[in-house]
Amino acid sequence: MGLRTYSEHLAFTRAGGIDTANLLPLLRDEAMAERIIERIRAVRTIVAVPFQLENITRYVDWPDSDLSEAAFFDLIRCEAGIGMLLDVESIRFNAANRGLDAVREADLFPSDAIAALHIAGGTRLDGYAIDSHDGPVHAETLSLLGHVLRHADPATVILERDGGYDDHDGIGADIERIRRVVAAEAGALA
Amino acid sequence: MIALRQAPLARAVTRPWPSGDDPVLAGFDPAGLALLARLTVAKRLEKIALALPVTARLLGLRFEDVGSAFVAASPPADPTRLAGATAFVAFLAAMPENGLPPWLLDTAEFELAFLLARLQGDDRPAPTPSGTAVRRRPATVLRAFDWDVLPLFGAGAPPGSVERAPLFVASVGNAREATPRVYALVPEVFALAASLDDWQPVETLPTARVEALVRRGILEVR
Repeated sequence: MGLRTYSEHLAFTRAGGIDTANLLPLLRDEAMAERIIERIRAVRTIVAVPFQLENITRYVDWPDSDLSEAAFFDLIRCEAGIGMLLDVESIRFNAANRGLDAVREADLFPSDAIAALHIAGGTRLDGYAIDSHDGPVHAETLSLLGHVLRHADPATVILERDGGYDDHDGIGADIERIRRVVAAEAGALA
Repeated sequence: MIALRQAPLARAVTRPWPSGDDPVLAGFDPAGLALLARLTVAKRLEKIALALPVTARLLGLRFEDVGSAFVAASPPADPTRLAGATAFVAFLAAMPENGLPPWLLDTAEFELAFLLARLQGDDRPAPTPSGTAVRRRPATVLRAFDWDVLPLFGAGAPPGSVERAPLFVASVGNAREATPRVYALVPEVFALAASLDDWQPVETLPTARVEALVRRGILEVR
């Protein structure tokens, strides 16, 4: 198939015979990290391309998690020998929904592990920032993208869109804005 | 063991109102759970509305209550659009008298047949015009209805134009075309197509009807 990379979200969708079709957060502890590492190794025996693990937007957290998201990722990443696909919007929304600083949250992830980036537009519902992927990319997300690019060197930056496909002008404008941020940071690095 | 802990969370967020009474969910943020349930349920119902657009339009404002009742009664086991639509139509069929249009179920069944034909559509070449044996193509979905729901699928037809009249339909999927073709058949032709689950010798069948059905891709010959 000519795949160059394989990525998966660090999440679960099915349990107890129910398929939620939604990304649910995992309990973050060492035992869960071990399970994930085993599964990544099993996948890598079949898919022999670089594996990237992606963070999700979390609307709830397991109260008994004893690792931060970044520490959980790092444990899995180092043991499994994989890269990270950093979803910039998820970082921003997770921070916003918890009253945290998005830049500081992004900085918790080791920049040399970031192999790719996802960017999207979201919305607000019931006071929460929602990762709906159906609208324009927010200026704060672009700003966070710029910050991440100042420290990381991802091979790709992907604009995600799950709705509002008719807004061709808006999607084109987002691509241009993202390109400008990437070019500006590439220039800064040069 | 972790699966035992994850299952209550999966159950909670696939109901229209999350139940926080499961001890496993103690300590979870109730507002976050409610939001996650709202998003998960909305996504599921959105897929059903995309699969059954006319049914959803007929339900109108009631789509939300009927959808909520469906979601509460039918935990999702399979995330595909077909599985969701099939379960929703089965739920409608089992609903007691509910004040909904009497042709709603036939409309939903019609759309489900259309979806099924689209998914089953293959990309084999056009049917051979002649041969010695004939059968119904696997991508053909036959359904009989009590209500003539076809006008609902025309441009701007109001729901009141539906009449109680038998309707026999073949939906024929073809991967080379964007949407299945839909044919209303007379009862005798429908019965002929329905009888051809397996290959049968052409000479035992009415030639003109078989040829017409082969031309439309409802039957195939070899």
